[in-house]
Amino acid sequence: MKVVCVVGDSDTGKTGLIERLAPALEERGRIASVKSIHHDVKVDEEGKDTYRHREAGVERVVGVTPSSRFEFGDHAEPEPGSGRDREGKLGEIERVLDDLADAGFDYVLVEGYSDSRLPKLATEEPDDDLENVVVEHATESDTSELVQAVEQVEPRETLGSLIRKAKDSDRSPEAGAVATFTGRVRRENVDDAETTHLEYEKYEDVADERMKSIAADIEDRDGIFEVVMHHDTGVVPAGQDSVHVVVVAGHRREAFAAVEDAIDRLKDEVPIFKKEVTVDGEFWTHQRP
Amino acid sequence: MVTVRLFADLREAAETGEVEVESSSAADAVEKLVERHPELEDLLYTDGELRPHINLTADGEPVDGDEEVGDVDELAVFPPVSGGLL
Repeated sequence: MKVVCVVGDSDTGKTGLIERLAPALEERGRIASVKSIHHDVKVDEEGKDTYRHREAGVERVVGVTPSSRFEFGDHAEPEPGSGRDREGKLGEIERVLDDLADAGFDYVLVEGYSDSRLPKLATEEPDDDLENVVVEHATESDTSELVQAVEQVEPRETLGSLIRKAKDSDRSPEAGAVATFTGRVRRENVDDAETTHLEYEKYEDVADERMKSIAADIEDRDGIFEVVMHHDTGVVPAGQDSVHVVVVAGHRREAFAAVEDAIDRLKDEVPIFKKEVTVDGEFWTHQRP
Repeated sequence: MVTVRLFADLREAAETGEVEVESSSAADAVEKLVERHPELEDLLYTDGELRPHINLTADGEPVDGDEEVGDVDELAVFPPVSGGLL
């Protein structure tokens, strides 16, 4: 899933940019949008059934009409380290994006969240403190250039989105097993200072090519139909997932073996470098004393 | 000219991720790199030999030091990949 934020001051054309970009992306996949709103919005009326559901203490209410659906609820309680932001302070947008990834969306256009690390299309000249701006003066860019920029951002995946992808790309009638591996950032290592986060650095295209070739090798085996791998890069806080492998196979034995071989080869062969940041200091994993 | 890409602690020590050098072989490119960035010497060499855990790739493919790099666009020098601490 590719996510970009559209950022800029009021009345600089953020919503218009989304209106221009959405139809172009819609031709390429499923698209969702998220809007950051700085005031409370009332979507429910006192006394309505859905209102009464909320009053009765449910966390999320979903209304289903003949042609659409809506849902609302409170933010989940922010958990320490939740989200991919180092301090976890943008937990809610991170959770929304993970939900959209799980739901199988290919693109998300986010209006706002300029203080996040998400890739950004800036409508005008961006402020110096904006991180990760991929297009400046985006209102002046051709739609095709904007689509290109969206396609080039690092994909954001979850275990759910990858399982979906693996199942969708192979519908063999003989596929009877889906097996997965997820690596997480451990907070505690025996005898070591507590880890706060990891920083992964990737040899871009070379890493992607290696992962593809490992997946292709394993897919050549009898009874293996699909292998999907994803490794996050950049900052991943302790407790968060950093790598996933999903295998669709005929039977469980070959599925488990393929998952194990895929993650072992990924860790041995793919040029991704890991810096561990602990409460006592930081070091690259290969320099570990 | 070949572009030499640096990663992880090598990139941090050199304070750059990319160096252009003129060279005939991968090992020669690494020597030129160290001439330009002496701070890399201890990270790359032990007793005058390229340290065994250092990886070299030419346009993404693993190579030995004696590999000719005349037709190569991009060499990369990097430490062991992320390793078994997951």
